[in-house]
Amino acid sequence: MKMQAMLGKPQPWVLPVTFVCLALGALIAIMIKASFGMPEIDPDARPAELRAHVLKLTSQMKDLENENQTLRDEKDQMIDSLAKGEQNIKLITDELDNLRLRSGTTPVEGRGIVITIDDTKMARTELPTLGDSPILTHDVDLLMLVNELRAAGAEAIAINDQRVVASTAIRCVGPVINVNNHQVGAPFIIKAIGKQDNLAGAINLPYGVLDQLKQLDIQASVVKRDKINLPAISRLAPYEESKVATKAPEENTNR
Amino acid sequence: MWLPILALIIGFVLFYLPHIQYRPDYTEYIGLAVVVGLDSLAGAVRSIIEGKFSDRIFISGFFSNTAIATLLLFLGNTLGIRNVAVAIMVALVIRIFNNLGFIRRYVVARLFEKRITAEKVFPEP
Repeated sequence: MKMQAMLGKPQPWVLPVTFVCLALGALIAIMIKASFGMPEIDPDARPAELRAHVLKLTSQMKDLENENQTLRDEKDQMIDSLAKGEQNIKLITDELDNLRLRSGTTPVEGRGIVITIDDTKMARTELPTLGDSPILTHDVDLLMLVNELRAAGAEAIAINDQRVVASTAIRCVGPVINVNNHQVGAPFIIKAIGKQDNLAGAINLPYGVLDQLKQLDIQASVVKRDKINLPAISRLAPYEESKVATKAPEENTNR
Repeated sequence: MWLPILALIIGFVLFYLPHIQYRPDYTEYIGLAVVVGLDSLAGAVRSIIEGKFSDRIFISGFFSNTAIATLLLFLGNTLGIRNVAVAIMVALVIRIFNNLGFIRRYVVARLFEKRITAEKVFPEP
């Protein structure tokens, strides 16, 4: 048993130990990456440079906001003048279409994603005893999803063919969920029109909405579709209290 | 001699460098597998010193220990028994320390007496 002899010619133990060492190295690498898995930040990430970048973007944003404001003023003026019948009627109908699209009073179609959410299988069989169990899909789950979709720039959303508009309420009513005062139940099919990658990315974010649902054993899937049809909202409650303001509210009124 | 160390580094680099994000769901199992591997290595070094290394026993030990540890941990997690991973770790780490102690005594003995064999350090009872 001399070390020199062992070094000279290949020993029977070299290959197996090499193999296990390879596996061990791989396992350790996976372990380290998984435990400290946050995306690596460049250690010398040039704070000053980044700050300058932020400042530049902020000033750009301010410029764009100003431009947006002037354009909106121009548009209001044009609409005012149109209302006086000075220009052709097409711009009014365009504006009307735009507003209808945004308010959800007209059916829309376009590219987007479809999210399907179903209660866990366990909930189906044990539902009576579990009662208000966390493994059912709740109104807050849908609210979180809708919120996430809106944050990701969804242009139109519908839950089980109930269009989600500005005045839509989503709430638990006993075993079902009310959307627009219409009962909807599992499986929930949430269709959203918007930039597909943005929407799917926001929903599939690690530890995001879908991950939280999956942790509760709720079945969820996201599919991208090239053509999604969303219905119009069936009924909008009439506005009784709100009126169009005659003049813009003054700023800094809370002295 | 250097081949295993090289393999360790290669394995590490192969899986560390690509920009793949591993999910932390199964770190418990991977950590267990790492400790099983360390245990196998310590056992291998000891048996090499003793001159009774067998590749079949080594490889089968590595795989079956990994499988059994994973199975036990999975069983514990499924049945809701907590800290199974800790229990398995304790058992494995005790073995690792035993083997490391053996290796240390051999190395220390060799440091002071050049021409010594494992039989002299640990005479058969």
